[in-house]
Amino acid sequence: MTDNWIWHTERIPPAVTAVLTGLLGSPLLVELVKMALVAAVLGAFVSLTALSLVWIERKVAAHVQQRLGPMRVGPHGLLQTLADGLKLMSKENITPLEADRFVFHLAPLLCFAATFVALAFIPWAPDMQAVNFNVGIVFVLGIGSVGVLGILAAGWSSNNKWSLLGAMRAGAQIISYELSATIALLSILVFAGSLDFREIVASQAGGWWIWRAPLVGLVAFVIYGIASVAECNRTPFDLVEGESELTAGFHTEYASIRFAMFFLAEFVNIFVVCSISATVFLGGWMPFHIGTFAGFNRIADLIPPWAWFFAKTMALVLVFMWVRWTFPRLRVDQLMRFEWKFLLPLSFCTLAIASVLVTAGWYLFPG
Amino acid sequence: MGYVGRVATAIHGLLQGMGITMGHFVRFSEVITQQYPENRATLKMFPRFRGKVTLLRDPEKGGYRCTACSLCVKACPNNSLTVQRERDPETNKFRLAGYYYHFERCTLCGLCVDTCKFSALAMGNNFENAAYDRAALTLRLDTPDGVPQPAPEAP
Repeated sequence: MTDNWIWHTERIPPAVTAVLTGLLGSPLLVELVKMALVAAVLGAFVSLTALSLVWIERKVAAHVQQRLGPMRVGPHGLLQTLADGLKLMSKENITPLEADRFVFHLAPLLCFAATFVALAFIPWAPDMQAVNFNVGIVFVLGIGSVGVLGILAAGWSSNNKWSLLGAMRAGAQIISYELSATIALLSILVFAGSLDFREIVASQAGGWWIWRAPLVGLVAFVIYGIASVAECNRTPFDLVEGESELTAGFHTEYASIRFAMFFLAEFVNIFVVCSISATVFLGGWMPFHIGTFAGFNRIADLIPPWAWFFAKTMALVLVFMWVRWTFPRLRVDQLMRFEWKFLLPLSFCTLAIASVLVTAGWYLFPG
Repeated sequence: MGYVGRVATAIHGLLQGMGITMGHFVRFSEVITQQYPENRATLKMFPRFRGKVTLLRDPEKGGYRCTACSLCVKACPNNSLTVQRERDPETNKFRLAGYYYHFERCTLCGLCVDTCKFSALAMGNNFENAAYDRAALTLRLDTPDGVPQPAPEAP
């Protein structure tokens, strides 16, 4: 039953290439069509994820606060985000007077492109990865910073003090927390011994790094979780948008489709950081296996790898939402103190201990 | 309490908070949202709710409890109540001849209910009070069937 392309996704790319070669012939044309196909799939995936995540977020928020959330448009409000999206598209696309028009129009694209590109590097299943790159994780972390550039550009070009304040906060916050996030990932990368997403997943065939790296894995996982919440500008680190202080921060002046792009980028960003976390700490698409329990392992293998990947990622997304609707917003000084005086030293300690453990081979199932 | 102790307390507090929100999230029965037009038939207002003032009847004698003493009229801050009374020709005592309620002026403060010495008044729990015409909000409460009727002739 499991011997078809649903379980063995590594058979899809060669099959697609074969079909395209048969149709088109020229290898250059085949490559171009493949690029277009992947872009279309990713584009559709991005919009679908954003739509569903917005709905899930609203439902989680509602039930945490003993409400029902959207209930009117479609069954249990399923089509609410679609309706909202269509409404956003039909709105007037306002550019403020005296705004830096070019930068103002570029900023949402930068934000969106950053998350969109990051999505291409994450393996969803065996060989289901748009770009295979031997330093993929470095590239993804680097491209994440382009998102900050978009936010800074949006705040600067809006010709609005609140926008600029929000953007400056975003810059300070994301640059600070990216340190902890990167170092937390690094302490697992020394275990995995590779910067390639594919090999990081492959290194977890014997078990996920969150528990194979004794305690260090768990601590690094929590640090990365906290730092990536901050990187996504979500509560309790949403000073960037801080409604009560800055109206909406960097996207105050944006409307219509450009606002929708920021919104899209925000939600896809959540998905991206959660999938990085799932890939590095929770084994990516690797099914959950317990040592030599062949029966259990076989049952786990009945679930296709991409389902494992999405289940892990969605579980992390739900934790993100849970955190968001539980904690109040921090103050700016608390935010900085937490990063520089607590999280960063802790992640350095984690990295040091991880390096010692790897050198000594003191972790579960080395080899 | 040292640094580690404070960190532990902080983490404990955060986890407690997350426990509370997860509790709400998991228990769907706690949802207090009302799906209003759909559940109109079964919707129950809470007892504290203050709707239109209603006149209560005496369950033994059948008539209204109101003795037309006009205390409610004096208590009303915006003159929404008018009580008309007449003498009973047999006992020569006052009795209620007309209880008029200007709902368009009422702020639903409940002072009339608080002052009434005979428990003859109560705040109702109907909240669908919209009307197309102001005149429809001037009501006579002491009708034979107990249903308030629009009273354009009200003083």
